[in-house]
Amino acid sequence: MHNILDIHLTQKILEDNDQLALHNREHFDEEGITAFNFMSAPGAGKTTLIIELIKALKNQFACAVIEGDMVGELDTKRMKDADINAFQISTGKACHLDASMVARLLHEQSFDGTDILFLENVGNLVCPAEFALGEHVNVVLLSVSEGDDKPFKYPVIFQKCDAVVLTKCDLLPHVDFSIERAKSFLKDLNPDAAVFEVVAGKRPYSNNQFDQLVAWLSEKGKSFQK
Amino acid sequence: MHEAKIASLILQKASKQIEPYAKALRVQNIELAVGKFRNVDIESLRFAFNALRSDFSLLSEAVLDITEVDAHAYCAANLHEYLIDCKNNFACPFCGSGVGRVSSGQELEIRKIKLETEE
Repeated sequence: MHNILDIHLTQKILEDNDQLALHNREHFDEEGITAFNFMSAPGAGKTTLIIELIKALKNQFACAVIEGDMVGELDTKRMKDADINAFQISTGKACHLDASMVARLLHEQSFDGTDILFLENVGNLVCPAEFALGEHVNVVLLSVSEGDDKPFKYPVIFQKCDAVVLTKCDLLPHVDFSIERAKSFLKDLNPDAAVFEVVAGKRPYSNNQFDQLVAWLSEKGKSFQK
Repeated sequence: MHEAKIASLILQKASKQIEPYAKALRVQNIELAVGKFRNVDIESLRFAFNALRSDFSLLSEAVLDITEVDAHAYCAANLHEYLIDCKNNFACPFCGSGVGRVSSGQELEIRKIKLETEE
C-alpha cells in the first residue's frame, strides 16, 4: 500500500528573481543610483533614444548603461562610440534581462559615481514584463510604425510602466497610427502613466516632447538620489 | 518563450519541497495558480514541463494541474472592483475610468503537490 500526501503551499515560482531584484534595488539605493528599465519591441529606438537622453542629461547626472541583447555587443559599441559608459549583458537564448544577470554585473563592475543607470532590456514586449531587475522606474517605448493597438495587445507591460514614449513620431504622416487611439488604450490600462511623443535626434516634428521627457527623467533621477 | 524557464523553476522548487520526505516514491501532480494578467502561455508551459520533467526522477510522471485566476482591478477614479475584460475593454464597467491597481490575476504560484509515498 502507498500513501498519498497533499503538500499545501503558496510558493511563488519567480520568488528568487524577485528577491534578487530587491537586492539590486538596495545596491542602487546605497550608491544613490536611479535605475531606469527601458523596454520595447525590437527596433523601437531604445538605443538611439538613450544616447540622445544621456547627451541631454550628462551635465546634470553621471549616466551609465547596461545593454541587454541576445547576441553581440553592437549596442555597447554604439554607446562607447558616443562616449558613454556602457556594459553588455549577452543573454544567450533568454529573451529578457533578469535580476541575476544584473546582480552579477553589479558585483563585477564598479558603478561608483553613477547617478542614473539605464537598463536597456532585450527587445520584446512580453517576457521583460515578468522579470523585475530592481529598477526604480519602468519606461516602455512604442514606435509609431508598430501600430497604435499595441497597448491593447500587450497589456501587462503597458499596465506596469511609469511612462510610455511614442517614438519615431516624424513617421506619422507615412503610417497608420493614431496618437489618440494609443493614448485611449493607455488611459484604460494605466491612466497614471506619463506619455511623451518624441523624435530622436534633430529631425523635425511639431509636437516633439523630448525636452519634457528629459525633465521628467531628471525629476525621477533627483528623487532617488542620496 | 520564458515558459521553459518557469517550467524548470517549478521542477526545481517541487524537488526541494519533497526532499524532507524520505519515503517519497513519486509526485503525481503539481497544482499551479496562474493569473490571467501575466504573460504566461499555459500550453507552452505544459509543453516545456513535460519535456523537462524526465530530468527529475521523482517528478518524471508528474502532471501539471493549472488553475487560471481571473484578473480583477480597482479602478483609478472610484476604486470600484471589477473583472478585467481582457478581450474587449480594460476600463471600469461602472464609471469608465482606467485600471488603478490590479488586485488579482498576477499569481504564478505552486499551491499543492500530490506526493505518493511508501507506507
